[in-house]
Amino acid sequence: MQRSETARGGLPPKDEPTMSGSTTRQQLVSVLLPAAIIAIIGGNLLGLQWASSYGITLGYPVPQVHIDSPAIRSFVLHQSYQFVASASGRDLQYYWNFGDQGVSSGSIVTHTFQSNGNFAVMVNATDPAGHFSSDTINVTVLPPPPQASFTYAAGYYGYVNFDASSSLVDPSTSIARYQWSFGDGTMGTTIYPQASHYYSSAGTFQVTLVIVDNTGQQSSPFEAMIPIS
Amino acid sequence: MDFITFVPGKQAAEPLQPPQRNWLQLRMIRVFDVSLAGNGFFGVVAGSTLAIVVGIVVSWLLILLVHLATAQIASRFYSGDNIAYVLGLFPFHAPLKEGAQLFLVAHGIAEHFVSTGGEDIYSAPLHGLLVLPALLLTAGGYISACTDLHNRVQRSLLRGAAIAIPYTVLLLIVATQTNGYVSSTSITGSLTMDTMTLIVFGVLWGVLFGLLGASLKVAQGHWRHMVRQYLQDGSVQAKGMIVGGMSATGLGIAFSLLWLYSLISSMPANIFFQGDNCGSGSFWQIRVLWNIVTGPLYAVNLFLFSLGAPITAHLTGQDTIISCFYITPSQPSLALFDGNLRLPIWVYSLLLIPAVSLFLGGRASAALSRAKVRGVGPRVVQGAAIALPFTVLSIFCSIISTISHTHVPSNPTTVASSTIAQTSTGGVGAIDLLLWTLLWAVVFGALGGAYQDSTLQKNVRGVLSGLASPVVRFSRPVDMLLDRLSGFPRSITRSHARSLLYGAFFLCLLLIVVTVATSLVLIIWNQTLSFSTNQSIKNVLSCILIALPGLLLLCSCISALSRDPLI
Repeated sequence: MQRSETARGGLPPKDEPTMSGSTTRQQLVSVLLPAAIIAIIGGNLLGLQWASSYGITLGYPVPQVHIDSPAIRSFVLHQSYQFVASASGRDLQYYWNFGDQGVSSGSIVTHTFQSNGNFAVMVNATDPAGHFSSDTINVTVLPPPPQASFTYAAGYYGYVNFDASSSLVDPSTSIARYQWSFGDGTMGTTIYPQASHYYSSAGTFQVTLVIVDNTGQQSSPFEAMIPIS
Repeated sequence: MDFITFVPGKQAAEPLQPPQRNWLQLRMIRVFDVSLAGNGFFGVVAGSTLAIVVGIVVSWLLILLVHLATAQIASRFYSGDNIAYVLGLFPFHAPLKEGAQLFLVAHGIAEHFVSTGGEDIYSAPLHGLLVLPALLLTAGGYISACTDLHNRVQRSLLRGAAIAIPYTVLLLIVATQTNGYVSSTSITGSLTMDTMTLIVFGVLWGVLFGLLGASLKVAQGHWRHMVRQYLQDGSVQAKGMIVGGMSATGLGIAFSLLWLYSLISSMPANIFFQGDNCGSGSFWQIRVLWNIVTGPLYAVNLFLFSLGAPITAHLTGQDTIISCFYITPSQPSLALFDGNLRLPIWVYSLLLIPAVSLFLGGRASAALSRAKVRGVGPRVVQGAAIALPFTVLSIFCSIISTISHTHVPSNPTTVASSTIAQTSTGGVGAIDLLLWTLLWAVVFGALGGAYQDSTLQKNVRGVLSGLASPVVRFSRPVDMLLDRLSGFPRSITRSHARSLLYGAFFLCLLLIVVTVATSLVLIIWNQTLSFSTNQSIKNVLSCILIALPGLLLLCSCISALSRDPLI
């Protein structure tokens, strides 16, 4: 293997012997084998990852959730309602958002609205694989209807004074107007609870009061028989 | 040693002999003629230029490849800006410029970024892609050393190391082309590569890997034999001590890297020492990139952490970069022996890493000084002596694996904030490390030294051979096939390294069967297996798929490095 530096004028012979073929093959395998091992590890990992994902895709179909009840869309303030959701899918977790900052979890939940207004009630169903589905209903929450009542006092010369201050209305709203029917064919609307009416003839009159709150809800008519002498 | 040619199998102390030239020297003589092919200056410049040019081209190709691989998900990351950040770059949206930047950053060079908010200096010295400059510098060192046509040891090594100088100069020139204005979706400002770290790391890696390349040239294909011969001359105790310390450090980092990658493959979001936002875990492309780039840095810190030293973050303000490094601002220090932390019990398996590494380091130290160190007592001392180099290397590792971010505000709003630089750092402190490295190295190095050449070693070897024999018998067909493929003569006994390599391959083949079977189970029983069971099976098997063959590959490397192939 050793040769003079000046062979062929400083150039080595062309047929420079190198490693034997067997040694070259051994060294090649020594390099290729670790590369093959790393490639197999990578392939195994990718294959396993794919199989795991595919198994989850098959085992956990994308859910479809639906709000089954309540069927009504108008709710009364401070009253408790049950909400039921059903969904296709597996191992689902249900999360409710009632739109009034109220949240809950479970397929059957109860909720009491604490404020008036229009709300979007949404349910999310999520499976462990991260698939999710949602359903939304729009609901209106109103206060309980107002309750009308009044008192009266007979005045001079056929005048009668009415006072509807005893009418009840939910604190979340207020009375917008008082609709009077005085029983002698005269109707009247006031924004104050007090009213006064002149009866031109004697007799007994059926006075009816209906009150309307700010949400537009009307009370049941409140009636009283008033004798005029 | 000058004017002495290294001849494999002989002590290098003979008179001048006609040089035995390698294929590269012969090609260089053919192409450039003897005068130029033997010119040291030419070799140094050619080696460093080649390393730089190839480095930039490869980095550019890497950038193109990364953009290709992440094309589908790039739009979700500030038009791809985050992909550049994952690589440790500032987004220029110009592949060649980003390629040059990547090549510089791979060396561990810090970056200055000046924007309207002030100046930010980012530094994370140990970059995963350091492997690229390392390989190219080794090749450059080899080329440079090849210009010594007489194959003199000192002169070849000198020429190999000398490429550090032109290499660093060329890096500085590359840096001038990388510096510039960055204007992208997420940031706007001016980028400058830090000159000081460029010079330090350019010279450091240039000398280190240049020497490695030159030593490969000097060894003429018998590197391990040459190193072994060198280690057996002169002061074997000192050499054994240093090699033992180096071995322990290298093994510790290698085991940590294996441990890290085994777990990352299976449970990216659950690793206790990784921040939740590391690598945007939902996309595997980003996760792979992140782990390639930061893997070595994490591995070094994991190794130092496994010694018991605390990983600490010194944070200033809302430093999101540091919060991505092991720890969140709410938990600024993390230590294995911190009683306040309730780490999972399996985390303490990390203690095996320094124990095994230092035990083997102690053994290496005792084995190399075998000629002068006899008896249990001296072997124990020789093994324990690795504590010194091990500590020095660990401190060096802690320095290059500490990331830092300095912010110098440009418009101070209050007198208190003024223009004082605020520096956040994350990593293991050198002082914190001192006690732990010395303690571990002395104890386990001494144990390793005592074990080496003892009767216990012979007995353990016998037991292990007995345990391995059924596996060896079982894998014989594959071994024979691989022997035939590689042309390995049947009359010669295979080395341990080769057996372990074959074993790793055989294990991989077995794991293919296991993976296929498991995959079928996961698909066929999709309605029976719950999500968590599916994930558990995948996680455990992924961990095994990397850990077991990886461990055998690592053992094969250790075995190959620890033996002289010519003996």
